[in-house]
Amino acid sequence: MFDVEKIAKLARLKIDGDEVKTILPQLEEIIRYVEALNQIDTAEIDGYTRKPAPSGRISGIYAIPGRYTRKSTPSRRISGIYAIPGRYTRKSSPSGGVGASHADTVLRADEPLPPTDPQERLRLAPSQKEGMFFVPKVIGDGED
Amino acid sequence: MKNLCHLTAYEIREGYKNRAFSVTDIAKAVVAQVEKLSPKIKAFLYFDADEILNRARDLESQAQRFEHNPMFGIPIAVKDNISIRGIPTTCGSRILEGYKPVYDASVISSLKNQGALIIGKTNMDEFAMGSSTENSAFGPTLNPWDLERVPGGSSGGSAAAVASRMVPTALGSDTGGSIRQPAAFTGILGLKCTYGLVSRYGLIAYASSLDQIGPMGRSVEDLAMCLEAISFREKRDSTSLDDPLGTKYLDNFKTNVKGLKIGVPKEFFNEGINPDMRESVYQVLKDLEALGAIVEEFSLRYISCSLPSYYIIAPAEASSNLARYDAIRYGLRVPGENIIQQYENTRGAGFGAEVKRRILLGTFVLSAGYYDAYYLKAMKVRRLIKNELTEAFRKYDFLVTPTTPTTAFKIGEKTQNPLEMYLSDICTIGVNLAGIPAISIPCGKIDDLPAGVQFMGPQFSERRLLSLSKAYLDATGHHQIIPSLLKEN
Repeated sequence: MFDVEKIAKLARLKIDGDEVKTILPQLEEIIRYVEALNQIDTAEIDGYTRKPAPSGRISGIYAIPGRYTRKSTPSRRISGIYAIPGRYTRKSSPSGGVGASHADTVLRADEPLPPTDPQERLRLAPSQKEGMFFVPKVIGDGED
Repeated sequence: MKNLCHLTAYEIREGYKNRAFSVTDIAKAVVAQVEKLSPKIKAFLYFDADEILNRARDLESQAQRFEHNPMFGIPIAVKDNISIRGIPTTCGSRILEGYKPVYDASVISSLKNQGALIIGKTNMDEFAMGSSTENSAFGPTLNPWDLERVPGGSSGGSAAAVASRMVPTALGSDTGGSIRQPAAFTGILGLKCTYGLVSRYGLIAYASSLDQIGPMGRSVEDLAMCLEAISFREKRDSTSLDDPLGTKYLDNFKTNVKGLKIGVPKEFFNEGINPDMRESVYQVLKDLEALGAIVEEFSLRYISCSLPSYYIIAPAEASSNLARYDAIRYGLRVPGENIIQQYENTRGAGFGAEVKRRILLGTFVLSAGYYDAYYLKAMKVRRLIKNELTEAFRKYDFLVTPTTPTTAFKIGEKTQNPLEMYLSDICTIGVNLAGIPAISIPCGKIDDLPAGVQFMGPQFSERRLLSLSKAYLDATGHHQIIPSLLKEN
């Protein structure tokens, strides 16, 4: 079931033969262990991955019950390219703005902040030329 | 006077107020203690004595600007996955060789603004994946209580530095227990906060929906002081939150335990937990009852699924987060004939065995045909765990459990069997999945090794967790335990 070489390829990870011999039984043991979850009935449960918030509240694993409401006329609007106007407001929030739950994208206003110095960043690169990151050939005879 | 190294952060603060000593006196004491004990403990990956003494002098010359800040002149060590501008940050990995962040993490900016005395970078399991610091590419940290044992992990360097009195406080990070488990193994206190209370901006990501930075120290006051400095809403972090109950944690303790309802989930006292450890925690419950708490046993149906859910969700997030190590913008590069080979060679050489296991596991559970069966399933179970804990807190103010199934284990004892290593986090992981806060505090010793008890509370209950801890520690004095290594001096 667990094709280490295929998965390693997907993960862009070189694993040599000896490593495969050690790692494969370990991974199989871990997978058998996590399969204990199959005994739990989750047919009616929302996993909260990439799902839009249902109307009326923000969902997501960290949402605080009763804290968020949806109104057609928000007291504070989140701007930014992905924000849905009028979607999120926060009940009795002293500071305005919205809280966070990882399953819901909550964005700040799209205002530029001072950037870090590009030269300083470039100096960290293993290889650079003429103000750019230098990399081996990307297009051509690569495997994929 | 007490050796300055043995002072807590709160005592140092009082000392500054009374002009009993200067920031430089404290800095010198830190440097001396680190230099004396580092060869034995190996807590730090980066430590620069001159830099610390210079910073201390700078702080003194600006004392008026800073002196009302609680963290002014307080030494604090920082786990090596938290970015400090210009300081090597390795995350315990070869793949970040030569990397120096070009910005400060939010928590670091705040500590600098408060005039804290930042003391080096502490050792950790590579990318915070591990429970012993044995997965550090730079060798393990040793437990000051017994140099043949691990200090726990992944924040083992921070825990060992605090326990051996090199520093009064340190920052750790906790994804599945990485603050609480090492705190328990080394006899100190560690707080994992409500998810979002402390910003992750500048924390090198392992599993973003679980990672939280938090304070470690030797007194409740010290954790509170540190938490005040590092908890605030950061606009560059969309998961960061304001504490709806305010920004003050210190000097506000309500230590009356009378009438508090304490739930004791049976599942944390089964045969997987060492009998002596069970006894230690039963004693804590008796002590809390003596203080007036109402203790009740109950059962959690899904909590035993925490560990299997975690070992799907955390590797899945890790495999995605660690895709950024591409040998282009920073870190190690091992060349290949084309860019794909360069990725593979670099990542093959730069990551250690545990990181590779988790990347492979994560890639697998997210891959076509397996996503629903593993990842989505785990996310649904996570929801059940979260709901069940929310339900429990309708009935109980706190839940009390052991922090770890055993005391600190021996170096090498669990390195051959990854699953056995994972099981050492069995008591702490549910908290991360639910996003709630929990604290580990010392509850005595078993065969001269520290034992830790864990208090869990609902979201934003940090103040109450600190208050309960203070009530318990004031009554028992267990936070005053000292490793015999330090008594010899």
